[in-house]
Amino acid sequence: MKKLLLAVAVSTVAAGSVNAATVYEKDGFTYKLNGDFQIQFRQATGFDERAEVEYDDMELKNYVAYDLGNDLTAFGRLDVGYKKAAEGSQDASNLEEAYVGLKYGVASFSFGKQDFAGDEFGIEEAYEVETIDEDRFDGVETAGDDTIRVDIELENVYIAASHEMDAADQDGEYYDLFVATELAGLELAAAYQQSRAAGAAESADTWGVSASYDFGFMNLAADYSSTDEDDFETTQYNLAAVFAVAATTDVALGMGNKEEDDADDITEWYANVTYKFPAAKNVSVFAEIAQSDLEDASGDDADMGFLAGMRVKF
Amino acid sequence: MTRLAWTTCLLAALMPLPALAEVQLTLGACVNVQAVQDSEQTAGSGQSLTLADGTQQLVVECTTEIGREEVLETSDAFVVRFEAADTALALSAPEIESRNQMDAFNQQGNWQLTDRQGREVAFTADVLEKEGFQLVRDYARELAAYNRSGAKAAVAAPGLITNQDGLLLDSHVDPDQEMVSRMLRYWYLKADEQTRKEWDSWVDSSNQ
Repeated sequence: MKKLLLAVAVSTVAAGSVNAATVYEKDGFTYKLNGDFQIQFRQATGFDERAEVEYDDMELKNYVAYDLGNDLTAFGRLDVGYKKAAEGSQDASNLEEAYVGLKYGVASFSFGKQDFAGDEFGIEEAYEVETIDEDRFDGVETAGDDTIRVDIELENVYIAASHEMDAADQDGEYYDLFVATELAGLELAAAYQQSRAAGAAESADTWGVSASYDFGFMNLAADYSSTDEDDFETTQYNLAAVFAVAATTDVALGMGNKEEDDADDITEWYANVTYKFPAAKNVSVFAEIAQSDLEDASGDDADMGFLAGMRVKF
Repeated sequence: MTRLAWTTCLLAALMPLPALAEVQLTLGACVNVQAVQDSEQTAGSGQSLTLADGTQQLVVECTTEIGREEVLETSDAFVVRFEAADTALALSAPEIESRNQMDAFNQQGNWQLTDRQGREVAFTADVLEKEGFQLVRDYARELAAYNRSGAKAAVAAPGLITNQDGLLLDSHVDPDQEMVSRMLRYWYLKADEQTRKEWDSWVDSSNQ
């Protein structure tokens, strides 16, 4: 059979294509390497802030896995980041995540230095928030280096649980639980954390709920989270909307409000635009403005913050 | 204008023009084409390919961001084969948001090929496996080797014919028949009793 091939009406390359993440794969062994580099020109929201070049993500993520047969996989993850070093901090640790684990079917178990289950929580869409937290879990703690974690991914439910052990390093003790599901296009999530700082008599309880819905032209999301520590309550809510204004361009609008007992609440809002290059969507440029109603001691409002940057991933 | 010229114009207008028979294939979110038929050609999500009518064979991958960290993850490379003529089709992958979903996609190969009315179009998909370093893959060469293997999404390559058992035979006979004969004898002597019986049976059936 003779086949004709018409010219392909798109770009062509010479022989040899780059496969983004997987470096090596043989006899059940896999090694993947991802990179995430993000650098910004930024003047933070605040008082008398100055513009600077800020390194947000400068990460290399290594992932190795061995297929042990019978649906069992052993894996390891080692992430190193250089943003603190890039900012000039010579003694900054470059290790961001380091853990090993086993995966069997829909469940995986891991231990080491890693994110808590509560880190999965949150809908905030800003590149940077300055005067509030991303959410209450971010305001307490979202990662540790004595952490045991279990992830279970069912057909329509995702469950993660983690425990940061009360080790001699005085990082404190944390129990986290995160559950997410989707009902008729509505994504719902809930999280809970019980935390006890090293040596503290009382533990703190943090919980949160979130929802997001994709309307097609817009994704609308909201979350609410609260921390109760010895009858001192801190709450935060976020609203965010992301519009796909073009195949290559997303615009996000959002705000967050944080309120502590016996203090004025703080509201920060932001608007950002992200453009992904059509020829390589792993390359994006972005810009953001942000404003907060935080006041200094003399009653002056914080100055508007802005940033523009570029992100390259592989 | 003269009568002859009018007549010529009229005839030209009434003559049926040969339609340019071709297939427009639009790539959905996350879909990347790495090879088309036997040549290395790339296209990304949102782009369209113009293909000749007939049997289509592509090497495709799905690259997407997964998890809260938005880590880039690329699926296995798949060989997708389908028949199409004078139509517009769309090739897409299911929404993949986690590593588990990516694993499931790699196992199921549940690509979606639909026509303009959203009706499903039949296709065959199979993983194009490569062992060892994956950084630079020569998909055209891999696809040629895949087609010689006679795997389920293979198409008959030029110079290859298929016998009644579906096995691919090379029509370009190796001139060094003495070497071929020596190799056959060598492997026959190496084979155990069961393998020799299977071999004898296959030779008998091939000569019928």
